[in-house]
Amino acid sequence: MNQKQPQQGQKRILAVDDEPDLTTICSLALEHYGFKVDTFNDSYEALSRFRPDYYDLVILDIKMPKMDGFELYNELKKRDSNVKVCFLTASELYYEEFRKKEYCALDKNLFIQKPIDNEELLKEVNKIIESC
Amino acid sequence: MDFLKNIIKGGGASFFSGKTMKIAIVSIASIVIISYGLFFYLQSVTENDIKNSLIEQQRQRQIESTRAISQNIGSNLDSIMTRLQLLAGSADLQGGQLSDNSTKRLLEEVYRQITAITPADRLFILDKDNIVKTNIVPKGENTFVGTNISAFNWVKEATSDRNNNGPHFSDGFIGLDNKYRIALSYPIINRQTTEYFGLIGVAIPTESFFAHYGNIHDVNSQFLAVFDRNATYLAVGIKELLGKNFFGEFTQKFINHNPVLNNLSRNLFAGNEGYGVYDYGRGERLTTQFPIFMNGVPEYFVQVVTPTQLIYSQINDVLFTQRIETFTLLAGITAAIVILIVFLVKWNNILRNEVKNRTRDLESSLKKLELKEKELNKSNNRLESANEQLKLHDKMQKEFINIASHEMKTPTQAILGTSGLLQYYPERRDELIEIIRRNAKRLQTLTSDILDVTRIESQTFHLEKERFNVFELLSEVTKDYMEKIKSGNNDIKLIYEQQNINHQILVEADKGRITQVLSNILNNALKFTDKGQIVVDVHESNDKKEIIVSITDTGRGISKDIFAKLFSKFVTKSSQGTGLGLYISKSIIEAHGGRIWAENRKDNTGATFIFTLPKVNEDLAGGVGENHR
Repeated sequence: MNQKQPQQGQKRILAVDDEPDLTTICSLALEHYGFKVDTFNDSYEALSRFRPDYYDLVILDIKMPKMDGFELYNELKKRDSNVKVCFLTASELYYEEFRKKEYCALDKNLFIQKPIDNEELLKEVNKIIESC
Repeated sequence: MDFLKNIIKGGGASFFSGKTMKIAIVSIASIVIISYGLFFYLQSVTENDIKNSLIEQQRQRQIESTRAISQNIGSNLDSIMTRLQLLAGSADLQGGQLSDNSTKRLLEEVYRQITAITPADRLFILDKDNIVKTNIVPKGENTFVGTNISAFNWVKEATSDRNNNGPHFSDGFIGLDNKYRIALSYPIINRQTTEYFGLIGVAIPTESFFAHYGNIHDVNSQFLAVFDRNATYLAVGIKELLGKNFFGEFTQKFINHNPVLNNLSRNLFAGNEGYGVYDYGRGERLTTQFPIFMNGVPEYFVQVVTPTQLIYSQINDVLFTQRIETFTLLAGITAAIVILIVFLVKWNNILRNEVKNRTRDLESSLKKLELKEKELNKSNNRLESANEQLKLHDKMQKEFINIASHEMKTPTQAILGTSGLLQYYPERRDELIEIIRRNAKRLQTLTSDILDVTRIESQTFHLEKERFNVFELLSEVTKDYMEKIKSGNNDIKLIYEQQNINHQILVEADKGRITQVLSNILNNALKFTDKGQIVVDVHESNDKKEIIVSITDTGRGISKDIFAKLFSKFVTKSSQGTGLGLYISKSIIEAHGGRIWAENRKDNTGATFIFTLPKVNEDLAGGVGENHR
């Protein structure tokens, strides 16, 4: 949506959240820190426009209508098995339960709790991108 | 518990059942009957033995007595004959003096001697022409002196061989005096010249003579029968037979040709003693017999006849006593057995009743136990369902917290993030402030919803009721939404329809709350409708008692999995909803005395939400209406 011309060495981030306000804020904040950010408010749209081997990090909301963050994660991994994905969620109980049951392979560090201020978000994103 | 019941029921049946009882009684009865039979059989065998031995004893005795009688008769007859022989040898008779006085004196002398020992009543002398010369008779009786008695058979026999003549014992005959008699005679023959002068004889009336030796009158007791050589009855207890021949038609008819008796008698007349038991139809009889020998020749024959009944009668008393004893014994045993059976039956009944009572007691306590078990189950079920409800409640609570926290965190995130961006993007200040405002509003709505729920659940939910025209309120709220839609989504058209535009309908309600309900439903409709129209229709019910408000959209309809619990707490299909709106709406409408429900269009091209509110009474409504104008 909010696409600028990518600069050299610029990290690419995909953010999916059903709340337009949150994707707006997310992209504004991360672009300010020098990332190239694509955002979607609909899981299916995000999936259909996803470009494999392109993003350095995908940030997913969990509680979304039609297709939730975990399902989207599975679909994205099918298309790009190396893509790094993290979750930015306000549904801690919901995700915690799910993570334990079906996604125990996912590292706990991949979950970022809302609400989070922009500096903190930057730290987390950098940490995840730099890790392995 | 079932196995207890079975034990009770089974126990009752196995204890002395009716069938066993019947078999026992029948067995005992059979044993009693068999015992009786055996007892009576043994009794009769014993009685027969006793009778037989009695008969045997009687036979022995009777043989002896018969012999004695025959010998006695024989010796008496012999002594008479001896006297006749002496008379025949006397000087007078040897001299042929048959009727002179000295002869008569001699005869009278001898007559006295003879009558002293026997009932012989006539002592007579016949001359050689068989004419009665002298006859000593009882006083006053006819002497028949001068009568020729040659015609008598016995006279012919006695005089048939005059030269070789000895003593003669006659057969029975009817005398001149019509009495049945026998005659004993001795010839008077001169020893030197052997001249035959005549006969000296004694005529004996058989009846009185033989009566001297035994009973010849009573047929029902032991009696005597005496025969001559022709087998003619000389004396007999049966009067009709006197003078009859034993082998004659009359006698044979009388004794029914009894072979035993005939055989016995034939033996007797052949000169043999003997005995026999027979019954020719007049009762069983024991007969013993003996010939009377005169000088070694059987001249007369004696039978002693005893009705065996007579013999038995001696022991009948004893047997009767014994029978009574046996019977008493048996009756006693029977009575004892009967009493035993009765006792057993009674005892069995008592036991059965006892078992029944105990069974009933057990059954009733079983029932009580079952009842208690049921109660326990019920309360267990209640506890379980309460527990389930608690679990459900707990789950719902958790879900609520989850949703609520999500709903709070999302706008908070927006506010937090945006406020940090203001410094970096001063050119987008208005846009960012709008985001902040919108999310703050959202937080506010959420807080007030949660507050409402808390009030509803703690029952501190109060309405601020006032009387107003409901058309006015509803049309105003709808108009606000129309403005909102115009500024945003142009694909949706909101239409307001009202039954009678000039009419007013008064309700008594909380304006703010009714607005909240309509807003809620409209928000939902907008949320789930991408394009098409939303129609708000307001009209009176047919009975004019309430107002019906329906909001119909052309969205995707209400999903089946939440339809049933649509108005419950935390039920939502929206990622943004808390699931509290409809729950609060329902509480509000019901607090006003109305109803709220939802319908899906059949072709799934939208949903309709309907709520009702009671109208204010028409009479009062008029007055209020006037004031408003």
